[in-house]
Amino acid sequence: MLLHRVTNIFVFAGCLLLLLTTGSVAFAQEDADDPKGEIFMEAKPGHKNAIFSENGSIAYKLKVKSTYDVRQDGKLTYELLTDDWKKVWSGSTSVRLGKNGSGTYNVRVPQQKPGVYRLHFALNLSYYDDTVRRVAVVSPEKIVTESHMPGDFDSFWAKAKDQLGKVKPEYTVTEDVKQSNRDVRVYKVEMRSLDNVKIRGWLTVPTEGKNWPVIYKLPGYNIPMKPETDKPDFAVFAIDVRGNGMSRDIVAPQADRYNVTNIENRDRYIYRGVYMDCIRGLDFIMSHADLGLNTSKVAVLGGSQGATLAVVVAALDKRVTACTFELPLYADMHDAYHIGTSFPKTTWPVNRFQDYLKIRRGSFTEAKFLAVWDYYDPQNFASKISCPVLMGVGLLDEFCPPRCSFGMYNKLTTYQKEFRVAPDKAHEMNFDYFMFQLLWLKESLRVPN
Amino acid sequence: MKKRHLLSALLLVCTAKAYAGWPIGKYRHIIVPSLSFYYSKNYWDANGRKVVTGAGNQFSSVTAGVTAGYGLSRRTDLYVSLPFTTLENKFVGGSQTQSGLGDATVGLSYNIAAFKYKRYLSVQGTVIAPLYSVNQTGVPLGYGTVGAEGKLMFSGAFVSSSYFNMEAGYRRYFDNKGPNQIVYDVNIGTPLDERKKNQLTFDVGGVTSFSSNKNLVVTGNPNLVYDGYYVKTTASYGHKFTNKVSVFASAFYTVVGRNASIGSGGSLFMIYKF
Repeated sequence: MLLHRVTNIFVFAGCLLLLLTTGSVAFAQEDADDPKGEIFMEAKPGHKNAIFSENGSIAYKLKVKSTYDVRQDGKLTYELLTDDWKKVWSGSTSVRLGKNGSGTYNVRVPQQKPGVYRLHFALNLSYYDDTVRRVAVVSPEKIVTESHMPGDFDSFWAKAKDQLGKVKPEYTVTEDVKQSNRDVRVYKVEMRSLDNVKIRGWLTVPTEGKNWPVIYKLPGYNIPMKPETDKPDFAVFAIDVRGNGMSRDIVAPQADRYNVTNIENRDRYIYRGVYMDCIRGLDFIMSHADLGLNTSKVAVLGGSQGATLAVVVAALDKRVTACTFELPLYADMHDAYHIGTSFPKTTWPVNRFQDYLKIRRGSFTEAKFLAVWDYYDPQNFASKISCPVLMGVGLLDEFCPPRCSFGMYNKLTTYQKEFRVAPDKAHEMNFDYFMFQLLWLKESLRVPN
Repeated sequence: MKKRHLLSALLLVCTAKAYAGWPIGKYRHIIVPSLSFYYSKNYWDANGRKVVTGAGNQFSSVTAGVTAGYGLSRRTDLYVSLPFTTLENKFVGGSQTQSGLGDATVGLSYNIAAFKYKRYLSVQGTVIAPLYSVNQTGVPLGYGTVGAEGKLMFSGAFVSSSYFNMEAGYRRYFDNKGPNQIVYDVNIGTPLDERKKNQLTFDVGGVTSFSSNKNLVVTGNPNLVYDGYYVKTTASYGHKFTNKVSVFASAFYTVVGRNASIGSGGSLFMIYKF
């Protein structure tokens, strides 16, 4: 944590930036005569990846290093909060940092029930104020979230699939010679999906060999797909669902209104078509073994919104061999909505839903909104997945609350499931995760290392 | 060739370099058929001095072998190897030949740590079982006794696109003469092109062997060293045909030793992963 003596404005901007990026906040004294220096704070969890047991305490080691040329006295305050910002426990200890001094402070929080907790370490010194924010998880496998599955959930989606089945796909596959190279052939693919909407995607197939296992990549929120040319061991089909990237012929909402498009009608909500687009994409893969695809080895993969889509496809279609996703957006919408609004400033995407509800105040309520989302909530699909699953969670993620991700994960009943966390990441995963995910895909699809 | 202290050139070691240290991966398999040739004529004596033998002395062997590996779990791999060797020992006034199955090995490797999934620290335990018997008159195909080996391996990404493998271990043959051996190897490989279709590897390895058997006149098989050491260098070229099939050709030469043969040779092996 770098702190300079700067004006209030710059400190505020810096704090805001840090809050957005790392969850850490710093405040500085503004007196021009204050001594100069920096304070480095490092909060290290006692258990790897900040995952603790409900039978033990939550331990952190806080290392503080000062480069100030004066001694500073003050206090280290630590607070444990629930993920929806309810204070659970607090403590403090006095701090004395000598000139260019350092100190180590062990913080031990009494054992807690399974859940996701915020840990705030606030350092208040003579010339320096700083707060480091971390998230710890207690017994994630025991986190339970309430299920809100509608009684007609299965028939709702069976009907959607029936309707999709009546739409002729009209596949067209065109090699994009400009993007093809000696290692990989790039195809632009078009097809028809629910409501006869035309959707597109990129298929990449290695030039050498045949019978390639397939990674079916599903898009994040308004993330246009591109040909995946850096996966030498797989064919990759990356689909642009309706309203995304290349698939905006008819359905083309503004980016910030995408997830509220037709939200008041469960039968017309944009995600009904989006989910069926993903099934149609799988239909495409399964009917094109002639392009060198091994249709018995197909993994769905996605991040954020793409995670939700991966879960949905794996649940609705048993042709999927493996399912891996990270940062599942929209998981457990009830709790996610509650947690999103518990922040000092409501987080995305809940703020977009809130904005919509404000506009439609009186006619479309939060209850109605959640009732629609119960048909689309990925956690309601989880128990229908029967293939191996790998999930990634960024513990500092404000868009996809970890509690909701674990709640959905714990509803998976498949014979093989596992998760990895990135304790210092927000809405992203770290390098280790993606390296492991690649090995996991190779294992699941039986690709040689 | 005078029957002297001898060199252990386990030619299948060359093949092992292609995957040593990297876990095969759960449910995955690897098969490595190989064909190796070894030749020696001169040797280093008990003081490490080169001794040039007279005309008409030479030793050669051809080994066809297969090594198979199976990923039992993400961390544990099972290896089995089986060699078939033909030896010919020529000396002034005659020659001896012998053919047959050599030392079979069965090993388990365990990946202790994967550092960012780019570098791997593993241990491997191997049992060596002779599939032949040694008699007084023939040329033995090996030490003729059961052995065991344990080794530590560290391998993974090196600078740029290159990779490395380092390993060291201890091998013991369960006979009152042993031998007991320290084995070690360092290997660096680098792709020759952007697509990593072609690669070149360099290898330095050796064996230091201890035994109560100080007799330099041994068996007629210079692949066997009892109380001595050697260091050999190997260069290999590999071509990847597909992501499942690669073929390597290698050549090696012993550069220094004591009570060991000065040998050279080469091998051709294919790695088939599935």
